[in-house]
Amino acid sequence: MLLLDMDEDPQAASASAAPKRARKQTSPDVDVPIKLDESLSPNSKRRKIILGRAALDEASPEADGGASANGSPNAASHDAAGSSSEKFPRLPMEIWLNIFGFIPRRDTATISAVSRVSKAFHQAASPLLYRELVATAPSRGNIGGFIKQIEPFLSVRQLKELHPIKRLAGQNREYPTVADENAVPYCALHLKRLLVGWSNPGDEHVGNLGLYLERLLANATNIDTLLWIDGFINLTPEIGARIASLKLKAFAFSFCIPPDQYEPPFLRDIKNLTYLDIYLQKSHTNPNAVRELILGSHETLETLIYEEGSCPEDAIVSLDGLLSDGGKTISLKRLTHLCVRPSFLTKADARRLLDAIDFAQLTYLEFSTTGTEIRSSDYDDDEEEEEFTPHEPRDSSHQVLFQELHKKYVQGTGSERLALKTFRCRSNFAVNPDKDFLSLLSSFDTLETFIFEQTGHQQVMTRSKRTLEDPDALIQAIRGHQNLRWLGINVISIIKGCWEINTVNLVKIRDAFPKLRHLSCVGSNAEPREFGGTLATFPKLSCYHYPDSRWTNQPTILGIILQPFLTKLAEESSSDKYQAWEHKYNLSMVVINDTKYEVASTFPKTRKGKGRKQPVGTFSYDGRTVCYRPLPLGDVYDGGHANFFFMMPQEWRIRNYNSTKSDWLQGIKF
Amino acid sequence: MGLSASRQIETTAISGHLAFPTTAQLHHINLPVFRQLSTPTAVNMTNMKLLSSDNVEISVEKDVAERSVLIKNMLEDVGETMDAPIPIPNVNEAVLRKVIEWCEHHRNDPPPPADDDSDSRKKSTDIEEWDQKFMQVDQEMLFEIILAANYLDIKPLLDVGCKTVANMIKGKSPEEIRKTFNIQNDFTPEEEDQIRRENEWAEE
Repeated sequence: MLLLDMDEDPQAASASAAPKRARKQTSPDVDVPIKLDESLSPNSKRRKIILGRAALDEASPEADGGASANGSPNAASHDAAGSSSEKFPRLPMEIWLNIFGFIPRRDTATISAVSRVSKAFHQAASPLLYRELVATAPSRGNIGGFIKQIEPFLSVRQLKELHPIKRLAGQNREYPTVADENAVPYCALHLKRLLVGWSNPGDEHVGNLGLYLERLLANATNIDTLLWIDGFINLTPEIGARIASLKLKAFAFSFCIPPDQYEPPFLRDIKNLTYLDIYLQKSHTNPNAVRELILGSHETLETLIYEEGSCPEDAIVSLDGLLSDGGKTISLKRLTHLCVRPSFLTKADARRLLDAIDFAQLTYLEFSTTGTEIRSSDYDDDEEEEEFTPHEPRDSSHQVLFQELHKKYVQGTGSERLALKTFRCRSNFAVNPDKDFLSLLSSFDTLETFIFEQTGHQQVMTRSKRTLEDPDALIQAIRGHQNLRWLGINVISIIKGCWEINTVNLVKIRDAFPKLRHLSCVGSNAEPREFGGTLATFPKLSCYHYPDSRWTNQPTILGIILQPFLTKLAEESSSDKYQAWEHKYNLSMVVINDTKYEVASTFPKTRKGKGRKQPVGTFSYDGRTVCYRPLPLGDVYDGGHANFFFMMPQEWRIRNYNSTKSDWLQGIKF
Repeated sequence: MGLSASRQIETTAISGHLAFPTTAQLHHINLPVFRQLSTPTAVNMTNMKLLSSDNVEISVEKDVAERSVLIKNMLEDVGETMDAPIPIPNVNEAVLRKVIEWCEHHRNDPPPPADDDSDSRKKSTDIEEWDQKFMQVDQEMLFEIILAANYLDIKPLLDVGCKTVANMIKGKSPEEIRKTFNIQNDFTPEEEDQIRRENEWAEE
């Protein structure tokens, strides 16, 4: 039936159905294969599976495959989902699927309840229930839960093999009654996305958890997204072989491999990925293996995330080397999303990058570095020890990249210009927005998100000689990007305010970007109330982030920001016509450093299913009141502020796999 | 029956809405419309008429009606505005008026953002206040609105309707869902018990 492969949100399915469907299933109205028996052709023996293990066992070879698709028990699924009366119109299953798509992924209880309603609902909801799995055992106490989560995907035989391990978790053993112990539960075929990460169960258990994962990977042959970002559970050669036989589209790898696997052989068998996320440390993995991985997907790759772990200078991986195959550049012709975070970028690296990637085709670019940026050669040994002052350093990695981009896309003879929608320029250091950078920014006008961010405190440490603050010039350079919705000038300092935006500049920002919804910047300390007052005149602003860590009393700064809003509200609405906050303002979230405050005229009394109570504070002026309360972490995603987290300085927007949030696959799109 | 019906649904799943009469079919149905249109005196009117399934003419402003992608595309196909009513054969008067009410309130909404924001659209079950009130109708009407939005291809309205139903489902037991939506339990007790056990992990 058409339902069986509606595994993700219908919108994504319909948009990208064609290439994705090509491999496993034949057509939407053919049922899933009942066994993972390689000898059966995918088309020859198919049968509707209504139930789990038991039904699987009944699905003997003599059960006819094709005809049962029209058979009676399930024919009802298309029309009324088993509706028994004509009391009100029946919704087609396509609409029910759309409805189920609005149930949050992590609300498995509701999805499970839906799947128990009727056979048709079961068929529709089961793939949603089993589509993704986060395997994590952050401590020894989580081992039981880890195993319990994987067990539904394993055959009875596999369970029995692993039985001794299970006992470690101290639970009673009881096997489902099945006719064939080798039969793989159907739900294994629904599993599409697996994340393994954040485990630390103790050395003696790591291997056992790996055994569970290996069997899981053997059964769940439809997995197309695998994020293996665990620091403890190793990608053993056995697991690697399983991974190589999957038809992955997205793969993230933080190179947690056994010490004797410096060049894991399975990497060269992973091909045709569209999403690749590499966290590389030369001391652990041979960069050659990574080159092969990139090479195997160079024609299909749409998103590349490359991050180098911090390492000593002599272990730095050269991007130049990584992207060349025997001197020839590995061309990534379909790439649209690029996040690069090397230790250091040399001119040769930057040139190779521009050669391999058509930056004019990119819609998304994040650039950052992990290294110390100042190499030992930058220090002059002859100098007196008393000064910890480096020589005027060579061009920073940022400067090198922007110079090259400027050469090609601004000065270049070709007509090609950048067309980025998102540009995030992040650094641990003072980044000088030099003329190349500024001229690059003003050479195109497509940005919707621009983040200029400095996360470290280096500019303070190095006596700020290198800090060239120039908010005026930066704002001037981006003014042409009229579609900007998200602007972050986010320079964190613990000692002095950096990149403070004064009221004049704030007005410029407001007037240049009428669609701006999210703003992150430090307001000028000299005129805090004027700053708030100007913020109140932004037409669309829904979220404001104040990234200044000097402020410890957050409600105070919150009050300084919000009071002018209230004053305006009171002034502008006549006394007989009361105006609530929401009627005038879109602002519904203010973030002070990294505490998020929800802001509204009133909050609903209780939140369903939430035990903790959040304290509510209020500000008032002339009878107008605005309430605020800190937002629990996980809630950010379920409201209208999805995506906010992805812009926090610590995290990458695309790569955000945190399981405490409802959607760890945010950046992965096919 | 089972086969043909399932085929039909399959088509709708792909196209997103049921097939609307083609321009040619409209010519066939209501030829005078096009005669009038082809005369040079036909001016660009801001009002147009829709004809509900129970044959009631409803006047509506063109930009309001164009919240329906189906109608918008059709107007583009035939060019300019039509004087004669456009038949909406799947939607009765009461539902059509309700749908028009929604379209009028949302006439100035920006087009749904593409790409990034569609994710948040999918995730959030938040419904704005006006829409919440709008959706406070009996279940029959709610389903009719959803079906009409699907047919007329008014994606934001379809989503509001689907979110409303999703919110009705949230936190309910299977039996409560069956009762709410009048769905028959076609599991055998054994099957039901088995699924319950299989799903135990999800309901903790």
